[in-house]
Amino acid sequence: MYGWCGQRLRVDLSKGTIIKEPLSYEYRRKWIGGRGMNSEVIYREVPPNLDPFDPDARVCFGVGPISGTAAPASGRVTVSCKSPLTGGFGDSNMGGHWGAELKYAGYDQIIVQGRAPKPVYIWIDDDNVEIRDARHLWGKFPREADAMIKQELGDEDIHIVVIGPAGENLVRFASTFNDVYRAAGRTGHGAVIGSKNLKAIAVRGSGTVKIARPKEFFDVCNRLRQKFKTDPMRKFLYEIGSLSLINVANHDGWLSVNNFKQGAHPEAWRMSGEEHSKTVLKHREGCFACPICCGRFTEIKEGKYAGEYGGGPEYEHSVPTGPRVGVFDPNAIWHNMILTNNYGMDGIETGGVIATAMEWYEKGLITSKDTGGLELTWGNQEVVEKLITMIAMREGFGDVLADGASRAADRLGLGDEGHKYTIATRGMTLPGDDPRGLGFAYGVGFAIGTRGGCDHLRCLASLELSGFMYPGLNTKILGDERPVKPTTTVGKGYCCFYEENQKAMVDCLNVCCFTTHWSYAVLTADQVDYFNAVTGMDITEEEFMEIGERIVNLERAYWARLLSGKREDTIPERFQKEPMPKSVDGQTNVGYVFPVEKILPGYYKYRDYDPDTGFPSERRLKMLGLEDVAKDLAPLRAKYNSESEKKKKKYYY
Amino acid sequence: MAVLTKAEAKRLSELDDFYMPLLDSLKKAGVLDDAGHRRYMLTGYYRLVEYLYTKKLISAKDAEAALAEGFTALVASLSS
Amino acid sequence: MQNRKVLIYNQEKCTGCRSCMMGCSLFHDGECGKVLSRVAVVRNEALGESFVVGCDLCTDAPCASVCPTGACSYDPALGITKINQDRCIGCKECAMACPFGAINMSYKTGKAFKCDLCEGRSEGPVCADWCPSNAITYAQPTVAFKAKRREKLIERLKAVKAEEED
Repeated sequence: MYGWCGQRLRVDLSKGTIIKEPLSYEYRRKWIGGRGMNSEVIYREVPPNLDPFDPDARVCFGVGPISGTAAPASGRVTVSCKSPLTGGFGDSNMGGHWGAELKYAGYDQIIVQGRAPKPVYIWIDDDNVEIRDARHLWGKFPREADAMIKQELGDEDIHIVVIGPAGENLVRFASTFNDVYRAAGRTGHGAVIGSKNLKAIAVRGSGTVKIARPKEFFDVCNRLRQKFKTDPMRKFLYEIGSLSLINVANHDGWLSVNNFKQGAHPEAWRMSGEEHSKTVLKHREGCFACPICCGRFTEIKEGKYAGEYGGGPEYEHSVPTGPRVGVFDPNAIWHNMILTNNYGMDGIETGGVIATAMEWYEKGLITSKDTGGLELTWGNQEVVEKLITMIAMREGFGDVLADGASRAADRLGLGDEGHKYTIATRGMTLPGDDPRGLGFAYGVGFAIGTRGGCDHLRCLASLELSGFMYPGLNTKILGDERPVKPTTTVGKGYCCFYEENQKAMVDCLNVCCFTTHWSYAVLTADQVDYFNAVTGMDITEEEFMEIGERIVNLERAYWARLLSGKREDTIPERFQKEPMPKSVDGQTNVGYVFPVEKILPGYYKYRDYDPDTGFPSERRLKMLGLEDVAKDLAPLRAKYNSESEKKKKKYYY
Repeated sequence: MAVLTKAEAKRLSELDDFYMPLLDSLKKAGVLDDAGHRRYMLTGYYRLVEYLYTKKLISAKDAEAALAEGFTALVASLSS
Repeated sequence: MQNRKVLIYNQEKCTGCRSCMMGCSLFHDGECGKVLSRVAVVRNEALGESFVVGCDLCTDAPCASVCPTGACSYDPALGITKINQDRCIGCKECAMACPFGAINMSYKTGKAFKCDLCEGRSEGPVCADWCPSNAITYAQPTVAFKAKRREKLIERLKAVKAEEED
């Protein structure tokens, strides 16, 4: 078999059974791999009303047919589950080398279900899979657990997925890590893994990925790799990492400062990639087969955090625990990053809940009585630091925040006023980019994202984000160059539709978005080329994009089953009503608001979502080969629009 | 070739969200069938231009202009 | 002949991405896998360190001197040792003798295989061509070492100057 390994691993931790399931040609062709196969399993096997921490819940690790090959950046892994943070569909993906190793061991996917009576880890050594005792690993940081497992198994070259203490403590936004620092951050599957008493999955693979048309595949890869050498985006990402965006964000006013109250700050340059590279960068890092290598390794040299080290930073991780909570001291930001990584939780949500609590505190919705004496003032690094530990350990006020901003608002009884400041959609807080400046299509992504407060890796509307670096590209795909302006409504509906389908395919193949439609060295047509060369299939660009559409619709249907639809397709009031204030000289987006309702109807038309419910239409579902999903949704359409349902405010599920 | 009327071309070029209406108009004019409508919605504008060129509905020069200047140039050539 | 291009590994630049390994195995074997690569990347994730290991093109090569059948021998025209697959008996002596661990055993044939500088590829070895951080370069030694010398010297003098300014 070419590309795929053709089997998946199902590990039931309650029964202690390990089953290898073959994957048929039809199944592989319909769902490809990674996000597609994962979403299929979550839709079919995890009922929408199941508690995400129920032993019966699933967590899936998926890789694609391209994973572990020479295709640019082909080492990603998608982790999917029913999210304990949002209660809806949740997935996230990570780089590193674990995905490739899993392919070499001979598996396209791992499904974990059940709950082990005691902490365990899974050891996959090619065909031999065993469940091993992990009691001695419980409570350890990813870095420690990784080292201990490698020592125990006597091989330093294996790759390990591991959760930190936050996952064990069921922090609702705990992450999963591989290669110590590569995180699948969002939606909280770290906690689901923790609830299964699973600490780690170690993999060693000695196989290879077979290629159907090796000569052709080599030529495609070679052509793309040559393109990367002169790609303008690649240069920035390699030289200064994704923090190269800080100065851009600060100029264009889309940096999240003080929980999105501002879009820029005069001090932000201190944490820019340019400064980072000059001061604390120890090493540049690359995930598997990556031609970009945006990964960083940081070692703090001065001040009270001197001597601390760790992988990162990355833009989306650093902004929420930095500017979003009003912290601008770069060493403090790197420290927060190292801390959240050690505990194993999502930096975005961690910063998001702390920033939300700070705004509640500022507005007088909570006082130091609620917080156990902590003064939650903007930029109070001492408190931020303390809260990160308290959240991970679920201590005091941290226990409240560990449920995520939206649930915390209800636990504290803050009502609608409290939810106003959570800056979240479908129960997940937004990453550190303000749609009032970064772009309207990107903002629509927040509203319709199939994993809630979605971020750069899903509806990454790169055509408006990095399109300006590639003149003519917007015209080529969208038919007009005007959508390159972030703050216009022209062409954005189609932009979202196209990019969302494309990104779904990127996640199915499990290559990195930064290689394709972010830097534009790899276009959709190139992806079709390498997919066909590896698998020996001959699918067309149309079929390729249709698979992406199928996956988006399936995930959307998961939300529809939770009665989440059109009314929930919105973004926080702040972006719609509060004009962007001026914070720095030359800020380009002063006075802008984000008119999401102007773009959504157009987007719905491309998707063929019901205009009154926002559910995928029966017609489109059938066209995509999802007849059974159409049947699932049929009785829900009227229910969603019943009067009682209309009155409900749904912040999470 | 006059596939679209002048008024239609004018209407399209004033729209914010123009791509779906453009595909709809082409379907109405009989240039695209259902499958074609769907194909070019999924694969993007340049594939549509390629198709129109191979069907000889626009000239090589028109196709070039359509890709350089965008859909306003395309609807102009389709309505003249 | 003295100025023939060689492979140079700049360890401090290696990002650990293994693009080289993928290019190598795909180019030579038409499959992708670490086990089929002639070049290897050793990663120490916890400390963010990576090292690239490949044939260092020894002229007095240990792999050739230990080979009991003469399968592994230095090719003066190419400037690298080659393993004649017909004569290799798969004894692994060369793999053990290589000071860098740059020789591997093929899971398909059970015989030893090693770098051949992608013989016949006009753009030179794939690993160097694809390396995103220039950790592997394929260059004339005189030029490369001259550049290296200059780089090191400037680095040292800059440090001295910075110290004086402090």
